[in-house]
Amino acid sequence: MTTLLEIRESIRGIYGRYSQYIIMASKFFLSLIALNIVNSRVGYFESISGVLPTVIIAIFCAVLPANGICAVMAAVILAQLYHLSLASFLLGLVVFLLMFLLYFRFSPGDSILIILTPICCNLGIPYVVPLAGGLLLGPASALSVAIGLIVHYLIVFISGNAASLGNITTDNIAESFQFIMNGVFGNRTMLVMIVAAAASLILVYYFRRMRIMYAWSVAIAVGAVSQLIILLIGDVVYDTNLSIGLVFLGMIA
Amino acid sequence: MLNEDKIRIMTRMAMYEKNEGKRDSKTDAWFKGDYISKALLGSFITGTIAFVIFFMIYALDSVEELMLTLYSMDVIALVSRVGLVYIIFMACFEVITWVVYSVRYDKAQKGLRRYYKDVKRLTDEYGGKDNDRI
Repeated sequence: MTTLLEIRESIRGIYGRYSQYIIMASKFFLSLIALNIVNSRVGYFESISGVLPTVIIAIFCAVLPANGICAVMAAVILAQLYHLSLASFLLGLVVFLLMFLLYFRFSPGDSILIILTPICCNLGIPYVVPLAGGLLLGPASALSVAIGLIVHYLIVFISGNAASLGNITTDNIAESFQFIMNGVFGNRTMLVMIVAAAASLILVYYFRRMRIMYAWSVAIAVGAVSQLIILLIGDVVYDTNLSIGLVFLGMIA
Repeated sequence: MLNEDKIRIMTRMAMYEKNEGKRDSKTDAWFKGDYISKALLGSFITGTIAFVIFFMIYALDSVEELMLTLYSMDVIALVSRVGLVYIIFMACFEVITWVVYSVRYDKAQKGLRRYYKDVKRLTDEYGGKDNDRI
């Protein structure tokens, strides 16, 4: 037990001395992982999908604040989408523009969740983000998590329908537009995930602030169970085809 | 002998200056009314642009219906409906802006009041502000 306390104090000491470099390194690795995920899903622009450009962009992101990293990621995704087709670029532009006009207007301090959420979704553990957000941040972080989920499902939609999006012409623009609208904003799995994440985050925040023993543990348990219940209800009502077994394993992990 | 009270106060002040103090001092440069008015004006501009984007998305989504009813459509009724939706949208967005920036300003003022209270306590610990005059 004493050894653990000593380790904790030494970690605190190291962080206290080198926090500036540790934060920069963390931002670098986070940006690197996010860029790799973007390049693997929608890497249509070869000039910025290579290893060297990715590392350079990640180094640049290391010195930016979280809002700046979000802006750089949005620019990279838009550049990739532009090389796929004008329709996918416009779709991405509309989503990111609405995000910046309505959300970044308030200069939130938790915009790092917008980058973390797609990373965790790609790693198969999206349920961790609302739990972490509720424990460490505030209820307004639910909006950041929701935006992160929208960005993730946007990238998944575009990468899954790249051939269709690349063949849009003026003849089929109306049908294509409705296909895009239904695919992105009508995605019921995304809507159920957003509701589950938001509800879980708010519940975790509420329970961890209670004056009870093991408040954090209770909050995590409540958050995990609430996500599971909402995802189950969503699967039954909207037939979202989520694998509840994998959801359960992901939460335990 | 080290005065623990002074060390505690100075540490708290240094932490505040390094973290929230930078943001709070910028907020303190404004009166509350001016601060919120500036935010409301910014939200008006961004909200209007966002509404135009939403309207274009809606128009593209219903382009077939619009084309079919173009010559029989009651334009004034359509414009009134769009205008009403715009007013409701902007009212909600401005209310959210007002609440967020009002809470932000109040939190900043609370932090600054606590900081100035620490400054006064520290000054008193050193014997008052006139103590360094010869």
